[in-house]
Amino acid sequence: MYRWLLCWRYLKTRYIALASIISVTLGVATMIVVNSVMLGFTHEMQNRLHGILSDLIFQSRSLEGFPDPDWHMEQIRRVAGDAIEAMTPTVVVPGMLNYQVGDAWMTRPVQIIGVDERTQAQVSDFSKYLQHPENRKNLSFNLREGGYDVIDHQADGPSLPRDEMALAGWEHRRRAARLRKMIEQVQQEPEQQSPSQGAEASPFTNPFERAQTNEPVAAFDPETSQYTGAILGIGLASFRRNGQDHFLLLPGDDVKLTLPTVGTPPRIVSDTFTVVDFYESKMSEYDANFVFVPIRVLQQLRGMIDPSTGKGYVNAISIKLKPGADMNEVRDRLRNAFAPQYYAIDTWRDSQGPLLAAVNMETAILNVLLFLIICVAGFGILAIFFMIVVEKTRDIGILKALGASAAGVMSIFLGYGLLLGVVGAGAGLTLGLLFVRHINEIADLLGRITGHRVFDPDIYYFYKIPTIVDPWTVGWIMAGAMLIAVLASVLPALRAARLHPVEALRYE
Amino acid sequence: MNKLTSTTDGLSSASQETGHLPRSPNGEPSDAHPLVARPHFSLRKHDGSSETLRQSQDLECVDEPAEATECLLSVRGLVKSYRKANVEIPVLKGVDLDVRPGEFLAIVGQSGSGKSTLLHLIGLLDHPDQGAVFLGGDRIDNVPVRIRDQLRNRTFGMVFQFYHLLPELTTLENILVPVMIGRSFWSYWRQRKEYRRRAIELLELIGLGHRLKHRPHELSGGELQRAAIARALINRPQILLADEPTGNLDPETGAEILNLLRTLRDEEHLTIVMVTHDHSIAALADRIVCLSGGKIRNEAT
Repeated sequence: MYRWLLCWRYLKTRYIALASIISVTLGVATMIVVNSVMLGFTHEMQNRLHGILSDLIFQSRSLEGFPDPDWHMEQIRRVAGDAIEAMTPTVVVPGMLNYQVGDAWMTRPVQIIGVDERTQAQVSDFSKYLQHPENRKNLSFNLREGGYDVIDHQADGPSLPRDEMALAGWEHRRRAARLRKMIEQVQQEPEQQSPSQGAEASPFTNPFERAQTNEPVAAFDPETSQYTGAILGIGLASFRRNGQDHFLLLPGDDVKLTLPTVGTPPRIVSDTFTVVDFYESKMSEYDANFVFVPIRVLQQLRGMIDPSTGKGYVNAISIKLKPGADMNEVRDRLRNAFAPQYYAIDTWRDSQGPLLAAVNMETAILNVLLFLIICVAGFGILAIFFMIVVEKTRDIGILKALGASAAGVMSIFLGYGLLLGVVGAGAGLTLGLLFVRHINEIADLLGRITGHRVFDPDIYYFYKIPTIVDPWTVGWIMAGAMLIAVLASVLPALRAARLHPVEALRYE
Repeated sequence: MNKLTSTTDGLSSASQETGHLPRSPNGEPSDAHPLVARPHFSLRKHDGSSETLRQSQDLECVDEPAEATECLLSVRGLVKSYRKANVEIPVLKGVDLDVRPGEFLAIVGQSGSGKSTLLHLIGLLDHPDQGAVFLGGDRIDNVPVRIRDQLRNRTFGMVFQFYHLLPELTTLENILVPVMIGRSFWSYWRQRKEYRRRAIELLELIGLGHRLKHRPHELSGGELQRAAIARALINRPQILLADEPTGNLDPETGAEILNLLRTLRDEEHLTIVMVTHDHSIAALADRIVCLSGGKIRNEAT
């Protein structure tokens, strides 16, 4: 009882000791903030990666792909049908994107992905990231009349409006076509339309496919018809300045895609597409790389359709698992069932392993560094505790004279250390949680004071700093801080316990 | 004296071997060592010694109050020296002393004569180089640490020249410190009201009833020493050890403190051993012994 009473009184009267735990407080607060922000980022990133990538990816090791995706899907279903919710075949091929901005042609390297518009939305969050509300509900590669989002529908806070998107759609296409016609008339230079030379050149082109992709065979009037639809990553078509998006292209504009065909050596084919929507996953790596087109068109363009059966080759099959299914277990089952030299079967985590590992590593290193700060604070506590023990030498002598045991005296100082740790960690917890709660306001304030944006949406594609407070992490941080406070008080406490009562009483 | 030695050894070993748990008078099991828990003497009886009982002391009679005997406290051949810078300074060179129950003994000696050292040895704050301390016939200077702590807590009350109250605590809390030390958190918490009442009673007895909530720095020297005495008495010790209790006080206050001690001796059935260098203060005690040259020189009543 006297121990706690004395601990409590020491805590209330020795302010210098409280000063020594400020560093514990700051360390704990920083650790909580850093972990929350890192976890928020990781979580957000994982969510997006997962949303983009689907649970399992069944890939061909060759860009050539494998034939008959239906047969493969049947095999996959036979091996792991109990865990599979949906599958979709995709063709992935690197290529080039060309589009005209004013008089200049822009060329960008891209990843062209052929998707099945009926099943793509079932395996991933693909359609969530589109900019037209109808496309989000029901994916289509036909250009919409209008009604594209003028505000970022994924923003969870205030974001700057994208006024240019209000024009997007047929309206924009018609206006651009009229404008071009006017210019042509003024210049008296009739320009030849060039509908898909590349596709024409492909040996496997099936003329009946054309009708399906809304591409007229005969006279092409850009005011009333479109080329095959393509969904561009938003980063390919826009750039961001001070949180404001500026568009180089809008849905309704035409772009050219160039890609290699199958066969050795591959030839280069090219075709014109009409942008029908933008894809914004907020992962700049994807948003600045991906172009989605209908899988059938891509297969034709690359010559991936087997003329004898009419079935297309595909590169990959994306698989969505049923909720609760063990991703790794299903992956291993599939790996055992398919020849590893032809097929690479990975979970989305596997394929993003290095990125996730890097983020985890970063978090771990930050934690180590910050924990070292708390350890340094421990030495501060040690020094101040030694001083307090020296100052309290006589009191210790009295307590011993009154019958207090060495263990009792020791526990006064250990308890005092623990109490300081609790106060320090508690204050750190409060401070850290408050900081996390108001992190965006604080970032804004710091930005205003320093004139330098702390959190630049140009870089991160998030409007707000994502944070998640994990109670377990917070618990561990608190426990660690308290442990350090107690450990730092062990030496002074031992010294106090070892004091000889007579010498302690004589101490002046 | 030889008899004393032999019987005590027998006692302590027997009680330790059997692990017999002594019961306190109210029937509650007590974790205190028999030496601590047992009221060694009925302090009101001063009817001579009982050799027979002393010889037949065994485990069974530990719980029962022993018959009064000549000495409550005995010191035999106490030798103590201090080392300072590799020079051994002998302080006590074989001190023999007997204190009878209910006695108020004053040990006088010059500064540095070793009287405080003697008191510390009696109060188990230090270990003698040679010799032994007996409490009611049982040797206590070589008991295990836990029992030493309990003896200091329950059997001895200590009063110091510089009062030594804890500056962080109020007067009342200071007085309750020995109670808190001697009891576990819960047993103190359950009976805290009772202990508080006893502390307040004690403070009123020594005339500090109006100073309960004051911190030590708000009290005068006389009040501090009164509070220190109350603290020494809260656990109803048998023996009060006072180390120059008046050393820091003016003669008038010193005399008041001495009178208080005398009153308390009667009311609380105490035995008091006081060391002082002041003969006029010592004159107020029942018996005076003189310590010089590391030995008890003369006795005067």
